[in-house]
Amino acid sequence: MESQAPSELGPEATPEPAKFVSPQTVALYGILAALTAAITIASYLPFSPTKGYFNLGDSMVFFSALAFGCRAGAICGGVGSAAADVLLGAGVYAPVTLVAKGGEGFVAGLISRSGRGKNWAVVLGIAAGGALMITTYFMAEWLFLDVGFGKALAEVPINVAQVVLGGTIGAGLTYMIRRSYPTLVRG
Amino acid sequence: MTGFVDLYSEGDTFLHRIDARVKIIAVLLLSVLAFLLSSVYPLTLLLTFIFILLFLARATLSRTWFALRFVIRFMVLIVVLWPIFDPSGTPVWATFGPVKITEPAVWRGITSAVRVGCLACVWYILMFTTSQRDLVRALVKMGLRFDFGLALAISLRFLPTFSATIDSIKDAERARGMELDKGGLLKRSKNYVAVLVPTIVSALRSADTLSLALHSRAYGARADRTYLREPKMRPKDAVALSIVIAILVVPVFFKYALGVPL
Repeated sequence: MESQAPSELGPEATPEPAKFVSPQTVALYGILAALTAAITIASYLPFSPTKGYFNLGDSMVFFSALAFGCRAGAICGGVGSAAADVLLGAGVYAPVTLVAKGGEGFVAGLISRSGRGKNWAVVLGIAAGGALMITTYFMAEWLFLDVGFGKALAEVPINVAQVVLGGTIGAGLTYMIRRSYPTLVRG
Repeated sequence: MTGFVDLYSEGDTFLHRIDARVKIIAVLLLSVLAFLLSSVYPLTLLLTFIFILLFLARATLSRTWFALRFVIRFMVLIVVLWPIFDPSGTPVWATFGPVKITEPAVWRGITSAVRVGCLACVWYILMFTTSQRDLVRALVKMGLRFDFGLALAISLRFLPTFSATIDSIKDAERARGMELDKGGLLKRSKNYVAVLVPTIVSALRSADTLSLALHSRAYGARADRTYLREPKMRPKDAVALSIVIAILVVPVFFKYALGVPL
């Protein structure tokens, strides 16, 4: 499904087809990113002592990555979660989120695909992606935003809970939706 | 709904009229400046400048509060937590067991809090004054591949639609007796799956419809897509750009060339 668009379309079309992604893919990426942002906003739950916020956006990141591969995971996770950050008023996090959640989706998709979607590969992919996300947030808060060691450390348990819950739900969703609607989950 | 679905508001201030590319560059440069400055007073000055810009963009009080709501608690927390984890320096103000509160640590906490405030608010200069269409177009002009630009535009367009879908599915589940706002984290997340599945399925269906619509409009027929309206840099935009660059360069020059502690 990657790209078959410009090949037979006359002299203006470029010879290398990798320039474009197909309409299906563009629509899918846009929709998945919007869905990630919408679910992050809808399930937003501010957590009092640290004012990080808990949400189920990670389940969508993992769903995109497991069902549609690492590129979908990276784009939808990164863009969707960063957009949700800006719209929730946490714009200071948006660049960090773009990298952290994008990397999470990319790694989860990559590992689960290279293990051909077996159970161990899915679990390993979610664990590795989640670990990457938590580390990125921690390092970014500590070194890059310079908020102090204590504040950065206080976010870690919430992120761990988010990855565990989000990973479980995301893997479950992939399984359920692939079983009930095999035509929808391509690739 | 906790957030806005679109932060942009119509207006006719100079910030609305300026080219979106200039605004994106300005936001990036001001962020860089916030990282380079390392003492309290210039950072406070920068924060004031950002607020003046927000005020000039006719941001209403409630919108300005929205930009600050999240970050104010964050800033307070930094100021409180910083001295606890950083016992270096003298004079010591107070000692609680192993925890020492020192004056330089308190100042460092305040500096860091003001910097985070700058980084958080500077975004909203761009978001309050630029429509999503202009934003995506500017990003594509600045070198983003247009198919990814289109995906971004689609996602921004569909965000409110999906928020509405989620709300109505939640209502439907509530009518069947599901409690979505009760219980602990685990129970809530478990109940949420019943909302997620129908939302995802309906979203993937609309992705299929959308791809048919893109096909029928000959998406991808030409490698170089053309635009109805090309954004052009006017002299005014160039002036604004040079002012923003000066705002970055002057303090950097004073700090690194003349050694003024900024």
